[in-house]
Amino acid sequence: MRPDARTALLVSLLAGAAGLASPRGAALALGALGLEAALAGVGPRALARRLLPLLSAFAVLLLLLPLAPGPVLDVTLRGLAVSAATVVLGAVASWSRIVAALQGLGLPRTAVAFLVILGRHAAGVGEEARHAHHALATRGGYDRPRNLGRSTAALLARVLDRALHRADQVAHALELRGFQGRVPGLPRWRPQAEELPHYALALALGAVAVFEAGPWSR
Amino acid sequence: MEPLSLSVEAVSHRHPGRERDTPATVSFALAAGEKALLLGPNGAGKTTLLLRIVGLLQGPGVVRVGNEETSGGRVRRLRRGIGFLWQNPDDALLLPTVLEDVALGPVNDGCGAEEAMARARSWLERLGVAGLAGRAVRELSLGEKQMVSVAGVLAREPGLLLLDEPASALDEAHRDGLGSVLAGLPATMLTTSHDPAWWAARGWGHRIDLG
Repeated sequence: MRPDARTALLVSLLAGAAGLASPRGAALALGALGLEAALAGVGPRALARRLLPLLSAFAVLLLLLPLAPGPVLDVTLRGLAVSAATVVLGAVASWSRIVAALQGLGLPRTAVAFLVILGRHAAGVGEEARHAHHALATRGGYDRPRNLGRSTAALLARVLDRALHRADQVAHALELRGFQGRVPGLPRWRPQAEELPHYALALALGAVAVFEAGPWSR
Repeated sequence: MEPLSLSVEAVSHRHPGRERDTPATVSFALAAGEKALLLGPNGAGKTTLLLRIVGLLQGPGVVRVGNEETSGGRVRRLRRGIGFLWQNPDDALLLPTVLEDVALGPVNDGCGAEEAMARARSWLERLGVAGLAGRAVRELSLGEKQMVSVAGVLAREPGLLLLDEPASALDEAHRDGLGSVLAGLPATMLTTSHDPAWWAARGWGHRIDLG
């Protein structure tokens, strides 16, 4: 079951805190985030698809591993944990619900507006990339290996061009729909029995963060 | 909101790099509550004229909404009373789920979350698409997106509606439903369409031809 956006936000924040506290905290946080995704019903394939770009970004760091194994592993693990906390949050809760949760915590209108625009653009770029990919696939863009370079260039050009066009449209739509930095709020928070595993996970992550950051862990 | 009158005086528009005005100089007036059709071939400037009325494009001529000129700092305040429906619903839908998106306008107009959601549900129901409330916008068909987009505009209960091809992607049943709902609203309406006979039969008597 998908948790309430506030619960998901809490789990991710505590996972990020545990990840920053120490490499061991980061490893535990990564495990906990995998569990959080599983509890929310996000399949391994869907999670892997979201995490793959992240892993490839951090793989670059591993090239430095022979030079300074300890620090490189430390930075990689901590960075991975914090980034994975964001990715898993995006996978288990809708962007607009996360923004609504932050709004409920007192986020200013300007910041809410920024996050809504950011979310709309990210979704728009994803849609454009998918449409361009489908258009190329149905028009022979990937039929021969030698088409691949040209098709990739066409896809990127189209996505960039449409993203710029969409930026104008989103700005106009926000204006004409009376947007002033507010999204529909979440209902009043009440503890729910179905969310108990998520609460337990949050509690465990909080304990890890405190334990790993405290002086007794050194 | 009370219906708003609309007056367009000597408005024309020249897009950058073009050799002629689209639209060429046009003037007309709609009384509060009047429903009019904006006609013309592709590229005649119908959408451009709507964007001029709502103040997103600037150029020669004067537009008045409810007797106030839509220029300078007033335009933002006046836009609160204007509902604008984009021809492409993807340009207007901003939030990931249908109910949230329809409630966006009311929330920003100052309604509480529950009231905004209730109003969103009510408009979806009136338009015959209540079943879409919990759906993700990206999973909707073009026609469904068009209906959700209309609901988002109507949920702010504007006094002037500028509708750019509101029924272009709808099947017959939804088109009829939308026509009945719009015909029953007190708002002033300016609607672009390539099917004037259909709208004329539902009360859109005034025709403005950019052809």
